[in-house]
Amino acid sequence: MLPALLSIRDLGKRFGGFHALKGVSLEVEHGEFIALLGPSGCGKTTLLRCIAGFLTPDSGDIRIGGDSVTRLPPHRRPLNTVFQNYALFPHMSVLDNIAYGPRRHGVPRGEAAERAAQALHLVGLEALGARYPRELSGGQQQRVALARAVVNRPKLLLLDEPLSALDMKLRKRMQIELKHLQEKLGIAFVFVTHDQEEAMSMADRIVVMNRGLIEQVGSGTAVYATPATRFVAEFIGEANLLPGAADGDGGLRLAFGTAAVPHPCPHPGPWPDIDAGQSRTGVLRPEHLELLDRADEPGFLTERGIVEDVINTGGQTLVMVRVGDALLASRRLGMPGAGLGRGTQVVVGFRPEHLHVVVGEPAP
Amino acid sequence: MIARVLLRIVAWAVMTYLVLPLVVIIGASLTATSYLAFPPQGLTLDWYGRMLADTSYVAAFGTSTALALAATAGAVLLALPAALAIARHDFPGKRTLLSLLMSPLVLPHVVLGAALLQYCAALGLMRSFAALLVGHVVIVTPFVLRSVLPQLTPEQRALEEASADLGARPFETFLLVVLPQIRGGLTSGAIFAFISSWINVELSIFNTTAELTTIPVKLFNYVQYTIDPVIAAVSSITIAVAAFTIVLLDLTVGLHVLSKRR
Repeated sequence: MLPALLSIRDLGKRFGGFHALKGVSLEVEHGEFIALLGPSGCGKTTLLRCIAGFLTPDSGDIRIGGDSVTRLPPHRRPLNTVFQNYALFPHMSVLDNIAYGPRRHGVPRGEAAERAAQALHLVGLEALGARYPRELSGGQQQRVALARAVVNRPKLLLLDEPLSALDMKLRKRMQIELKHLQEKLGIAFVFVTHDQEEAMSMADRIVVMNRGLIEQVGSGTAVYATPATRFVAEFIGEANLLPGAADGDGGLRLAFGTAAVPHPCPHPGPWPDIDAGQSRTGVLRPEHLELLDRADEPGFLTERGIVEDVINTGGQTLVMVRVGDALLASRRLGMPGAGLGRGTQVVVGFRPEHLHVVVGEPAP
Repeated sequence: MIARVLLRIVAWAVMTYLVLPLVVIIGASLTATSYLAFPPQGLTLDWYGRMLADTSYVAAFGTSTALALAATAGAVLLALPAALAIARHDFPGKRTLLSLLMSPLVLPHVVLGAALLQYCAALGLMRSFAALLVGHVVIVTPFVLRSVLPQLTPEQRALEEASADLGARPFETFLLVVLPQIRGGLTSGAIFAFISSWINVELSIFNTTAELTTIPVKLFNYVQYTIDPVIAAVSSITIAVAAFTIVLLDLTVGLHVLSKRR
């Protein structure tokens, strides 16, 4: 079997008293699009900088194509990076910026210029080769940075929040372009972002990081539908978190609404190793919490509640319902119906199979 | 509109105030009288001839030029690596090192000159060109350091990382990315260094002899006994050297490097 393109084993890094990476392991295959997702300070940028070689990890190993690069300086690593603020050389023309990589690898001047022109064509800026970076718009600089990073045809491209400086519309367009480019070139992308939508819409696999650890690795669908931890459930999308406890027989007693009125909830997937009373959290996405006509709707767990807010988000309506101590969110398509307003008494419910259970209590 | 006119008036007033003494000196150097007179009475280049005929003046110009050039080169070679190390790395004693390198800016040069004399006497280098050079490097290094350090920003650091990422070896990064980016700071620092060395009296005066002397020291000694238009002629030459330096700079790298801030 071929070794993975990128293999990270047990990476640790400290900055003084701050433990930025606490033993991170990850494998990236050829041509894969990986998003490193997490809040600021979660270690995603540190991980990226360790892979690029700008930081030396305190422990662990990084292999590319089976060869350890942990001790190699950045200029000897077979990968390229797109930097957060592009880091284009201001004293060089766009074409010289792009030709810089091939020139450093001993490609003759003429051929390097040719390759640079091709790369520029790839990002649709063939007319701007003679310009200087300061004469370009943010989106154009972004494309030049991309062209400069792929001109060497690396097998692995690292991208450090490359779209964060662009406005929203341009960002959306660049997301699509970037994804197409990645598929066209067949280069593996490791893409750092704190924007979960960006990660969901672009990546084959999402690596959710928190406090220097990987919480979950999986497809966008997987991390959304079956979050591995409470952190992932809360970080990816919106979630109603329902406190519960194991009943000792592989089931779960869930406090839906007031803690005094527990419902038995047969959760799919046995939990044989759970002791009775151990705390669990039920994760319920807003689109699975429905407003019902009656409390004994078959197949539903239901509660009575009072509407606190109706929010129209354009095409979707978010209804905030107070059930006991908890404020739950219910989302549905369409405009808010008439007769639904603050103070309306409603019945809310969900199908138990839509409930996903993670370890631990919800945050207060 | 009024503000712009006022600004122009003030700018021209300041210019006049700064340039007038130079005009007086150059004018006085052309007088035919044997004493300093402005406006010059009669026009002659005699005093320039007198100066050039005096080999001690020519030698002093040579010493000053060689000293200023060597001191500037020495300061750049010291300050550039020091600035890179201070901006890029954290090491124990970093602040102390920086303070030490900058301290000649606040220490009286007279004290440094006297100390240098004693120190070099102990080494057997008393009042030599080498002793002068060491002293001048010490006092002009802060100018280069102070103008280069602010240019080594995090953005500049990102450019260096990009260069390494694209496959450039450290020395290539230095030549192709670091030097072009800090050129402005380096040039202005070097000019300040050159000029501070060129005009220094306090440190040099302790370490010069009748044979080995710099132009400012020679002028200083000369005016204590004689005041004649030779002084003005020598001063005019120093002004010309400074002006020539600036023009040369403009023709080679362009004066805009002095004002460009990234």
